Amino acid sequence: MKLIPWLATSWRTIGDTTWELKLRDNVYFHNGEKFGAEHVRDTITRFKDPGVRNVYAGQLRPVKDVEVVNPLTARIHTDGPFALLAEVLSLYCEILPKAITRGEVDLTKRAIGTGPYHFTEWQPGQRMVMDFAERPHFSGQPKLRRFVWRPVPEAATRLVELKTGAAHLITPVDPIQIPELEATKNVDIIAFRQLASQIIVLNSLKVRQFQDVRVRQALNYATDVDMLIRTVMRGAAYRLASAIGPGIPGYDESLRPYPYDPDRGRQLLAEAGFRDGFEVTLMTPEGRYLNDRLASEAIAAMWTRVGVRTRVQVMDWSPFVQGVLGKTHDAFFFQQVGVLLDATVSINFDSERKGAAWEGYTNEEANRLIQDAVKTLDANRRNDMYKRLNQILYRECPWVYLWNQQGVYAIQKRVKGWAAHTDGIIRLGGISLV
Amino acid sequence: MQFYAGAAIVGIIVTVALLAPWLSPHGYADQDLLRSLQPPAWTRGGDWSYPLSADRLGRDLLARLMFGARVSIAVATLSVLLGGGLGTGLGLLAGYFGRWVDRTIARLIDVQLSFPPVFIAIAIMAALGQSLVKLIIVLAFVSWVQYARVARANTLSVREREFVLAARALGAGERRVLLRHVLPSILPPLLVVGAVNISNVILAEAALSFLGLGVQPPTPAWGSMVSEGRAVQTLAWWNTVFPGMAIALLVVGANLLGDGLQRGR
Amino acid sequence: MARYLAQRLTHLAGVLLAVSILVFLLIHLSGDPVRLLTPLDAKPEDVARIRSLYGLDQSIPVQYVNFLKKALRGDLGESFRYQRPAFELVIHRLPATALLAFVTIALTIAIGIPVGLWTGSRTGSAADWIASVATFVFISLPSFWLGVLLILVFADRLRWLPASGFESPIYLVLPSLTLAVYTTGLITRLVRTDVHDVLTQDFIRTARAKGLGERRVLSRHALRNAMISAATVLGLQLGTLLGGSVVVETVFAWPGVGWLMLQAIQTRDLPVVRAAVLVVGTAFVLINLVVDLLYLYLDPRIRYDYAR
Repeated sequence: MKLIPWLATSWRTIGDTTWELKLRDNVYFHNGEKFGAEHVRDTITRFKDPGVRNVYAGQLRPVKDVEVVNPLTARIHTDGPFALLAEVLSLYCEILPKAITRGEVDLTKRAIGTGPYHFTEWQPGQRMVMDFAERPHFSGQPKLRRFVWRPVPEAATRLVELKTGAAHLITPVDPIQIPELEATKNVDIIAFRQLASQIIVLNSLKVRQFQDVRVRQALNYATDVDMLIRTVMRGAAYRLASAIGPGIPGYDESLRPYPYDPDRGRQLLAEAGFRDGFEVTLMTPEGRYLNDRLASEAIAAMWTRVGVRTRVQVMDWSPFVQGVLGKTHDAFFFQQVGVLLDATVSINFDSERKGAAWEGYTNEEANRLIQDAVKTLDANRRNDMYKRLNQILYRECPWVYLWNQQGVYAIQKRVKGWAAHTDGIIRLGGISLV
Repeated sequence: MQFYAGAAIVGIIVTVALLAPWLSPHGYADQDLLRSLQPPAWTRGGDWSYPLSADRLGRDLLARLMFGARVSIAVATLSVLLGGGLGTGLGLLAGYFGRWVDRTIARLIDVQLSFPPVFIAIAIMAALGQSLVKLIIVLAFVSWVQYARVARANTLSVREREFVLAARALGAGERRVLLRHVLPSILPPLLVVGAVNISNVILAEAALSFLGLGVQPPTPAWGSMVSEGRAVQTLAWWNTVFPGMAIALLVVGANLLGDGLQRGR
Repeated sequence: MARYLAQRLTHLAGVLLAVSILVFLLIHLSGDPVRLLTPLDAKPEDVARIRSLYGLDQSIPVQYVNFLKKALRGDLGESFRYQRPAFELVIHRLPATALLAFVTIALTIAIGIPVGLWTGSRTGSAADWIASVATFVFISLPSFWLGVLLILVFADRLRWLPASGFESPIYLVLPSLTLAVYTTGLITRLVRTDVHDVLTQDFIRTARAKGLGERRVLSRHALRNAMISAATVLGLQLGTLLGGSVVVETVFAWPGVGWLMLQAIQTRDLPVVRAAVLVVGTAFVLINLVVDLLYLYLDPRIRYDYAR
């Protein structure tokens, strides 16, 4: 993941506890306010306000205050080194106009931003309408009058909406539909590699066999990931070697994925003292991730072949989440939580912080690396620390590593000037129709 | 005629279900990922070891249909009996005794009807976990009202008829009047409701599966099979059409049977 | 009559009270709404803060009493997910669902009753057999499958009709057809059986023997009798449809109550589920009332049982 200058044109640290943001000039909110450092200050103040229903407020807990140096320079003071401030701001913190931070406009009824298109109408769960903003935007002059966003939950229906021209862009696309779309004259497929990893989390708090690293390795050997990608995922996934994939600090391209080797798996299980195998229930949501249930069923069959007799259980999302957080599932098909290493991914491995998807993995060195890295402002040194963490996780595999799934869009060929972004946000700036 | 046609169809399905382990060429859970979506034997790319094609995980569709018959028949029969028994009983009582009995049951029906079935299904399954038994209970639970209402309406119109009045005048006990006189005369429409409900229940199972609340894998059930196949409808019609045909066949058979029974053959 | 109505309406209040308690319990039994409101990577302190901001940190009885107090003032709470009044969200979605329901029922009556009458008066004929098998097939098609099939044929292949959404009356065609296939099969069956039963009863034979014409036999006796069960089932179907057909609304992205409720249930958006169930529950109870009044009209033997 790489940050692209947007409202902030540059950012740097001054000392250990201060970040300075240079802001873009000549940017206006849709209600006419000129964007500046005061907006950054007011937005962050609101962001941290405990009375606001902001589910991410804690992400900016280290921020002490924001200083307005001049209209286009803001300094953010933190109560300690906060290495990933820029990433956190870009992921979680949209800058708001004063009309909203002062409470004159209700954000849930009328969104006001700085983008090339402004908010017009929202019928919850039904449609959202955006119209072009009069003022030119730095990301490109809007070329279309109006955008309409509609949720269409059924994949087959969505596909037909695109094929018939009623929709110009649809997402997500089930990989199995890709050949049909490729055969359609007026349609293009745009795919990108998502950052978050698909994995199977092994709960060693619940299943004592998982405490043995050989058992966890055995399951990695027993899972024919290439076959799964080829058949179940129809090629719409990229194999992962370890917990930290490409695009995330700490990625190590020298790590090779565990090869499919069921004999090695059986041997490791025998060495660990489980020659006769054992029983495990693999939990999976349905429809949450691409082919989650199908993949789980296929994986269960593979594990059963090496002696780990696996039963799949499909769960509604709410109890599934309760089980993850309550650490009551034996093992579960999952997408790694978050993409910011410091803030989110790493808490899955820190046995002191015991994050959302931490399920019993314990390694002192890993704990130390995770806790030190957050306070390390030097990006290269931080990266090395995560690389080290990644190597430990590769060897000790608290998870069974599967893949990064593809984000797939299908788009009318008439639509020009649009590209996918790894954060999944659809940016409208340059889009035009021919 | 109808009765025999129905009996034959249902008989065949039940036989296949019972003999599934011996008739089926493969286990219903046996995967062969390389055969994912292999077409039926008689089309290009198919072969006779997987006569009716394979699903996305390369499982033999014929095997899943045969074993699925067991699940679908069990789910349908049990939930119809459970729901039908409960509903008929309550409807009968409500219609016959009237007054507070009727009022209480009417309120119960109102409360039940106010709950969308999906909500009940999700709540029960989410709170207690998804399983076949819970599926049967949920399906019975959302269907008893139909029987109750039909039973009540018909009891109301029967209870003042001559033969019931006569039985009562002759000093027959309430229980006897209910079971020997009222029940038999309100049974015909209930049988039709029951037969129709077989399809209802199978469809409800399919709908729940569509919403991610079906039977647990790798258990095959016809409704779930249609739901799983719909993602590949244009690519592999056989994955939905064969289980769909199986459902239709069972429904036709059950209804012919119901009609025949009602008519005394 | 007026007293009867008044009594029925007071019952409505009791039903709604019971329903609201059950919804409350079921939602809380089936998972913690706060953990769905907050992302998995939310910090624990955020989770705790959100919990108290939504008042979900109080005990369940206290939460219920709070809800009840507000509800009596006509405030059904605010959606967790959309931050809008829950009642407003539901009412906003009601017209689309009601329209779909009424069109479906109208289609059902228009096709099902004549066909049922016709086949019921000549059971055993070839036409009856064909109609019977057709109705069986009709009631065994999973609606999501039929819906997708109709979309593939009429929207994709033929390009005659739109696939999803609701912009103009033409958008009604595919979803109502999908729903009507099932209900029509059901009603045709029911009417056919009832008509057949009536026609083979003694009083009809007597009427015929007295020289009553076939047309009058059908309209005076058969139709009226058949309408008793038909009204029951149609009432139930209408009630179900007004609750929103979750599956069909999902397939056609139909902006109705069913889809809203499904999303609300899945995200444990308690206020919306509650509002939807209460609104739909009220509709159910009112329809039941209408059906019962219809009974009175159709079968005078049934008296105002409730009012006694």
